[in-house]
Order: sequence, then structure tokens, then C-alpha cells
Amino acid sequence: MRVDIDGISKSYTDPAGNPLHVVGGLTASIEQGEFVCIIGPSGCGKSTLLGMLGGLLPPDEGAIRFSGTRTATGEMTSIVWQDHALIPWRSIIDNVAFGLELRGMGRRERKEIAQSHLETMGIGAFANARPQQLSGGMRQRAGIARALASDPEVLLMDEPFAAVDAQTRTLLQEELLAVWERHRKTVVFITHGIEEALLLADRVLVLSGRPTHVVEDLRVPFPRPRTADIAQTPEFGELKQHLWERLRDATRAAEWAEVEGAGS
Amino acid sequence: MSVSTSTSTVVEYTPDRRAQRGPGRVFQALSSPWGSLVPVVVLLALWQLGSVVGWIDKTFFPPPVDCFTALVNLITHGDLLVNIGITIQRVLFGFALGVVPAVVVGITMGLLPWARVVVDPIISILYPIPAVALLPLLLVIFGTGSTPIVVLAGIISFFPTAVNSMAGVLQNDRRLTQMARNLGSSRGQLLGKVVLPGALPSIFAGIRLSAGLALLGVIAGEFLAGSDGIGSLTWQYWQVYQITNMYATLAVIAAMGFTLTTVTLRIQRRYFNWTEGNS
Repeated sequence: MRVDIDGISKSYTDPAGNPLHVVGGLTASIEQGEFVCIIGPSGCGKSTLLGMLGGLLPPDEGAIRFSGTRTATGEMTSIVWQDHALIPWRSIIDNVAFGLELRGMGRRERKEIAQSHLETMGIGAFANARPQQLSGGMRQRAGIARALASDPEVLLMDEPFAAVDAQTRTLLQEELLAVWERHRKTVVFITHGIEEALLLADRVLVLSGRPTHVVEDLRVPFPRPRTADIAQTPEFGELKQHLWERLRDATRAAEWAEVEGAGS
Repeated sequence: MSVSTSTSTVVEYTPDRRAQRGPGRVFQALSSPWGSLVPVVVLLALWQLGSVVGWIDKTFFPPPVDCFTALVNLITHGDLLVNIGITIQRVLFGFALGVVPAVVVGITMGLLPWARVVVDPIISILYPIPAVALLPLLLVIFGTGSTPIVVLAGIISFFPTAVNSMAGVLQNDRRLTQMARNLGSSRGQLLGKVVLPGALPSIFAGIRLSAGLALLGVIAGEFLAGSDGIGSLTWQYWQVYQITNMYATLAVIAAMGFTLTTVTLRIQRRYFNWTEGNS
């Protein structure tokens, strides 16, 4: 499944009635099986972009094209949410099976599939626990298991590891890489972390401030399979510095635009 | 906790023996389910003593033991049980009459902005009216007997459930609905699997309030317009100044209220425990 984002724009009207141009003519292509990380200044419209990719809101202009074999819109993408968005009154396994349940799959079959994804994420023992009984890291593992269980064409991840502590984040990153090596799903991964992006991605897209568009499309050269050790190499340091400079420029520009907006 | 010499000071944090010992045995006994009866029994004993010795006026506060005797007497020789049955029936009918449409109206208002815009102003005007004030009107419409009392209880118990049902639907977790939509949920699935289950705790909280108000409405109706029922008995015993009998019927009403609160709380803990500590 190839994804072509073709000049999409999106505007909102803020509560005061002013138009807010969030996404401005963004164009990008994502190849089948590619792991793409997206970084950009805070509030630049990354989540809006993800919402459009996830079919939750239509673009005002342009189009997003999924070229492949499947047609059901509910099977194109699965989002892994920053706050995991698990249903509190369902057990973990019923949460993971939720997407399959929506498609009308029988109880036994969907539970089997859900259980196997729980095992993959290392939380098979917690199938019957409620989300609120689990730690933040385990909830996010369940969130990833749910997204994988729906077997989407594209996995969309919205800063999935931002809310967990640093040690757990490192573990989750390595687990995600290990799972991805096996499935090789197309992944669009939004993050604040430059190092996280370099560790995970085949390509890093740097976005500008609002109205956001791609200002840098960087191919990450590190061979796979990768571990966190690549962060020690000089090449990693150089790329990190380079990305930080691009991000800093974009963030500064976004901040200035914000202040000018406030002044007018 | 500090030892000082001429040259330096040492500050020591040492174990807090009192805190380590934890709550005392008396405190633990009192906080057990049966132990919580102790303060009630002590209060009744003090009342008994005060009434017998003459610290408090026996005419208004007869000894609890006399009231209990009166209660037993009313059960064995009077028609107390029949009247309890009548009252319970009215409470249940009134409750159902109010709560069933309230859930439907509340959910509809939560789901359809149009229903909200039309119905909300009407509820806002009717809700603050003390429903007991409507009793004369109900008597005009329905005559005497059980019907106006049941309708009064129905009107009173309608509002909390309607308002809570609407709020429960409106406050649905947007993250969950977005998650479900992303996974291809239809509108019906969204409603049945996410929005309504998420609204249930709020709806049930409204139903709990309504249950208490249904009892209130029935007792008030029986005071003013009933020829039978436990509230009517209380009123009659007051009028003929049989104070111990009056207390006996009050105890029955208190027991009804207590049962209602306890049962509904149990249901809430049993089925909606996921709302506690939800993140």
C-alpha cells in the first residue's frame, strides 16, 4: 500500500471566529513498508495531519490516496494514540479485539487473534485485566496490539511513547522495532524526539510551523536491524545536529508568526 | 530529635512509633460493617435514658423501646404491613413512570442537538418547580386514590435521570469515539459500543437520585392526599397524637430509604467500578 499525500490543506475557525490555517499544501509520498517519522514544532498541525490520514477529518483541498488492493476505509489505517485510548470498561483482550469485533468477526476467532498480538507485545498474561490496572507502558503495548490486530495497511502512531518514562520508552522503541521487522507494515510515526525519529525511521519528514508543509525529507542511512546503540556513532550525532537545526528554524519561525498574530 | 554540641548539630529523623502502630483497636472495630451500628445504638440508648429520667420531654421524644413496642404491635395487630405494601407499590410505579421516559428523553437530548434545543428550555423551567406544589393540580386531574401520588412521584423522579442521561451522552470520551471511527465503526456501533456504555455510570447516578426522590414524592403525596400508605399513617398518628405510633411509622420510612440507598450503592459498585480510578 503506497500513500500519496497530494497538496492537502486544512483550516479551522478558532473559538474567537478567526480562521486558522493549519495545514498548507502538504505533499509527501510514503512507500509500501516504509517507516516514516514526522517531526515539527509544537502545535504545527501534526495531529491534524494524522487525523486526515486516519480518515477522521477530510482535507479542505487536495487528496490522500491509498493505492493497493483493499477498499474498506476502516481497514486502511489504525492509530496508536498518545493516551492509548483504551476502553475502560473492557478487558485488555476485548480492547485489542475491538477493531475485529466492529468488522463482525466471531468471538472465538477475534479473541484468538487478539491473544496472539498480546503475546507478541509481551502482555499475554494481562488479557483479562482492565486498562486501569496496567502501567502506562503496558497500556501502550495494548494500544499497539489493538492497532496490529486490525491488520491495517498503514500504522499511524501519534507520539505513542511521549507519556511514558524514559527507560520504558527505550524498551518500547526496541520492541516496536522488533515487531516491525517481522510485519514490515507501513508506519507513519509522529514524534517530538529527534533521536527517536533517527532510531526508528527510514525517512524523517520535518514540518514547518502553521500552515504546515514539509521542509526537509531526510533518508536515514543506518542498516537494520537497529538497536539503540547506533546513537553512539558520529554519523548519528551529525544527523541529529542537522535535524535539530532545521527544527529550530521552523520552531523560531512558528513562534514569530504566533507573536505577530497576537500583535495584530 | 536533635543533639547539639558546641561545634556541630546533628538532626535525626527517627521512626514515628505512633504512626507505625496504626489506628487503634476501638477505631478498627467501629469502622467494620457491624461496628457502624454502635454509634446508632449508643444514640438510641442515650435517648432512652434521657426520656425515662426526664432530661428530654417524653411527649415529643418517647423512649425508643416504647416506639419499638408500638411498631411490633402495629405489625401484629394493625394493618401496617398492608400499608407498607401499598407504599412500596406506589414508589415502584412512580419510579418506573418517571425513570423510563427520562432515560429515553435524556439520551435523545444527548444525541440530537435538535431535541436538546427544543426540550432543554422546557426542562429548565419545570425542574426548579417544587413538584409537591403540583399536587393540587394532580388531584384535580386524577381525583383521589393512588394515581395522583404515583404521578407526583413520577414527575419528581423524571428530572435527575433525564438530566444525567443527557450529560452522560454529551460527556462521552472524544478520544474513544475517534478511536472507534478510525477502526471503521458505524454510527450504530459507535452508539452501542462506545457512547451508551460510557454514559451508563452517569445515567445510573441519575437513577439513584430518582429512586430517593420517588420515595420522597410518595410519602409527601400520602401525607397530603392519601387515605392509605405508610405516609398517610404517620400523618394520622400525628393528628390523633399517638406519638409512639408515629415514631414507629417514621422508623419504617427510614428503613425504606436506607434499603434504597444501600441497594443502589451496591449495584453501582458492582457494575460501574471501572469509573473509580479511571484514567
